[in-house]
Amino acid sequence: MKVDKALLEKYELGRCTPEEIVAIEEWLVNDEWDDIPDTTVEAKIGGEIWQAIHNKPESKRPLKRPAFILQTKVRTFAGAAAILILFFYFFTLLTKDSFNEDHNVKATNTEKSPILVEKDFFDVLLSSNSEAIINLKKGCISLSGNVLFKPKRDFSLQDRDSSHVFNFKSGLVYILSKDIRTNKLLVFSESELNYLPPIMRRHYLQQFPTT
Amino acid sequence: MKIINCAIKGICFGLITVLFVSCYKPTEKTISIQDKEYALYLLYKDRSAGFALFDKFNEESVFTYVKNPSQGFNREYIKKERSFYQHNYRNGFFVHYEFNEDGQLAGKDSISLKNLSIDNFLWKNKSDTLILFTVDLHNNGVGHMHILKTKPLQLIRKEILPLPKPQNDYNILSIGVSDLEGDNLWIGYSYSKFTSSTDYTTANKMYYANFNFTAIKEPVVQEDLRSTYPGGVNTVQTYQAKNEKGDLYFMSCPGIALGNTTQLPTAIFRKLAKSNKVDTNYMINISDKIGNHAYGFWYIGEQKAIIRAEQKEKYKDFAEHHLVFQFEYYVVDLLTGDLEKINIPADKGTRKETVLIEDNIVYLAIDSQDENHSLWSFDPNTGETKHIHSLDPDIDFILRLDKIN
Repeated sequence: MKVDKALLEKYELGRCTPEEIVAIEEWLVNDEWDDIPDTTVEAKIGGEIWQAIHNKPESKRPLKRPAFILQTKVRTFAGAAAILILFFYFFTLLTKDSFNEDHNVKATNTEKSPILVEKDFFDVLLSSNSEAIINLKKGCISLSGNVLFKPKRDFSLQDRDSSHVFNFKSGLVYILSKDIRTNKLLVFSESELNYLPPIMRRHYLQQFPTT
Repeated sequence: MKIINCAIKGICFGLITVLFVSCYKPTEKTISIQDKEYALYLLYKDRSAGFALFDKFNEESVFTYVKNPSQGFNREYIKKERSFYQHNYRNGFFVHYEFNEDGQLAGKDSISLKNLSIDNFLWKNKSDTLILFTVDLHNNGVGHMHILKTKPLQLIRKEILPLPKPQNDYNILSIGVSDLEGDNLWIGYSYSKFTSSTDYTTANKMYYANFNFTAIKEPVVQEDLRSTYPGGVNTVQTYQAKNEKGDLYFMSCPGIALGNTTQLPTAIFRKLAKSNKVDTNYMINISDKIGNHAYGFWYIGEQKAIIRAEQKEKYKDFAEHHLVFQFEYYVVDLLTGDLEKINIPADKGTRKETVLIEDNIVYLAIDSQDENHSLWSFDPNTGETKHIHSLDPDIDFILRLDKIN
């Protein structure tokens, strides 16, 4: 096999067949320049290649390298994934109670003064004789009476009775009120209180004197 | 030659920079409140609110936008000359605001008035003494009168209103009109009750009570069955006015937005000057004439007033009442009872204070369809209307139009 510039470049790039590698290595050991015409490979280039080969002992197995890298990556990813899955599994187990508790809240107030229920995802202030059942996982709400509702993140809740979906924004304070007669849930932000009929506004201010 | 070119370029650049810097005026720093005659109070689409100050009603008028003085500040302010007064129901403070040199509305003074809701106010004989008629938040059936000196703010007197207790379960008091002539205090009120946790209705009766302002003892009460819910909260909208002779006219508001007893008519009534009683022979039945209820009554002179009427076929319920472009403005002849519709686009917003009368011309701020928030003029003598100026499309509602200087 004739060793020329193109073959040497191919060798340097690790794209040679086993036969070509053998031919080049024999040529290198031979330490002669006869096979390569002067016009195609200069002495300088040959020296650089020689130097490069001697500085890279593993270069004798260039074909095996990509396969090795692939296997290493698969192993690393598999290991990381396994660790993550295990970590997530244990985290879920450890936090299961509080997770469910904060996503599924049933709060009742039979007292005369309002009661505040604070959760990770929202706070609820229940007026007298009010009840709120909020399930964040299912995205639904069931209510009787009047509550002040302060979400701590954005989410939507569907009224179980009317199936109407309400969007809540983190940081705003909402007044939620159930009309027993029509079974409709009224939802409005605290700033919208100013636009209600005066009698209605006074009614809600009376319900939540701490607002 | 190259050096000369560079020098010329440098001089030009310097001049342009100086010109640019001298022309650039940061809006918030250079407002001269002295130049601003009028203020619009605006609610934006992002639910923020603030003022737009301007100098005159014409196309070239320059608007300066000013932020709300605080998060809790809203449209329910009492304005007198350059002072604004507002009760913050969250913290119970009654605050005096004024525009400062930077053109920002800033708190100057305050007093604590807790657990109450202001239903009505009047200035005592055009003085700096403010009379507030309030309803207790702990007891919806009890009204008080708070008398305040405003410079500086000081509560000088507080009296319970000794109104006869309602006979039935209608026990939520609403004081909608008030007047003080000399020592004779007169208030118009009604009683409501809740029919469910989210709905209420008002008893079919208006009450007018006459007191001696100094003594505030048992009043003489007149009952009127012709309508209900006389007037309304006048920090939000005007419902009464006196004509040139001193006759007091007011409008009842039994519609969905106030009295919520829609079977009774919206109507205009009057109490003649020097009289302590409402004229039982006088009534303009607005609902009969236009088939709708109305809110807001502004006297424009020469026995004429403007009212703002809803269109019941255009809204489904109260939740969308303020969103629908339904409100029409009518001129009412208080002598003949004739109504004439003003030719401007339909407005939105349930209750608004956006009618201003100056030099016999009526100016109106309208939120019409196609995101057009604009100022209009109406000449009562010719009936001619004119579009004056369109405002920022980010506005959702123009809630008030006030003269500030």
